[in-house]
Amino acid sequence: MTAGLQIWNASGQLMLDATQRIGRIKGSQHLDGNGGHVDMDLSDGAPFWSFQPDFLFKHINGNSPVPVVSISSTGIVWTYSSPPTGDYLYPITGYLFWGCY
Amino acid sequence: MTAGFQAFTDTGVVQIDGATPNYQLVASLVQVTQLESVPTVFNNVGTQFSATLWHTTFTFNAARPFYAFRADGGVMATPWKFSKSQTGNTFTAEFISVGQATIRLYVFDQVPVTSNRFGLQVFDASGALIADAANPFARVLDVIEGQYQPGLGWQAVGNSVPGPNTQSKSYSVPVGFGGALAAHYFVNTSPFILSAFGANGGSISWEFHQYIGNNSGTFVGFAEATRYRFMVLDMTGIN
Repeated sequence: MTAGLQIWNASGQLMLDATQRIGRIKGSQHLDGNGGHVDMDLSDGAPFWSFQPDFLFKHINGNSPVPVVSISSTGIVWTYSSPPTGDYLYPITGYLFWGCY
Repeated sequence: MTAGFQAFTDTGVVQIDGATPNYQLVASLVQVTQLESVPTVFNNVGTQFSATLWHTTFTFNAARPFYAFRADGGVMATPWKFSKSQTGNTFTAEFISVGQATIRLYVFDQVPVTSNRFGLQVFDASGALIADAANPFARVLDVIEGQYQPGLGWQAVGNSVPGPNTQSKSYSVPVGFGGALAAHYFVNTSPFILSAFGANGGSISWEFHQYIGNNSGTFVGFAEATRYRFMVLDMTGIN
């Protein structure tokens, strides 16, 4: 590297230098099964998101849509597909994280 | 910002911006999966079904954790469930694996104020610690995503269930899986097909693994449930 921050651990191993990209949390929200969005400036790096589901399986009919997430430099949007029936509907809930790296 | 600390990569990408919390390692846990009965789905009259799978449940305390994992020796594993207690900050993370596996769970979170007596600490304008050189950072090498069953929405006719579609990739450093979301598919009590992720040093592989049953039959379900996504993290120096 030509310039920048370097960090070593107690045993002298390089843990961070200017060739490495690290994640920064810009926001998080618990998704409850409804669509939504957050407008935010995510232009200082590559935007990323991560969804950590509370569950994958619930009712045997499989009526559990997952959030469909899209992210850009101006914010994050999530939607759930329309279910085939309203019976035993359990959208997959969980924490959505987003940020830049 | 008018004051504070910022760090950038060689290519000008922000590493530490002086305002946003960085993901940093706050705990690492190791457990071995055991063959046990795991609840799967329930029916209209409340009968709970289960499956016998290699499984383990991690429990830990955190604020807003972001997890990464790796199973020893390239055994493929799948994040099954990730939940927070109704009260407090106790979280559980459940994993299944295709065979018995030693699973290492790495918990990244906003860094707690520690009694570290060395290194660099960065605080935001309100005095919150946002980066601490004494904790390993989540170093992102790659983001990989895909979808086994194309399309969006409920599908019930005309499509077959996707096969394993095993893929692999290699990196020059040891890696782990960060924030992995598993593709998943089931019908009744068989099959159960989920993303499985294997890492051995810097080599990773992933597939739509047939944990129970197989992919014969017609696809019935939400196509987007077969979408998977994970970040590849540099695990150098993180045990």
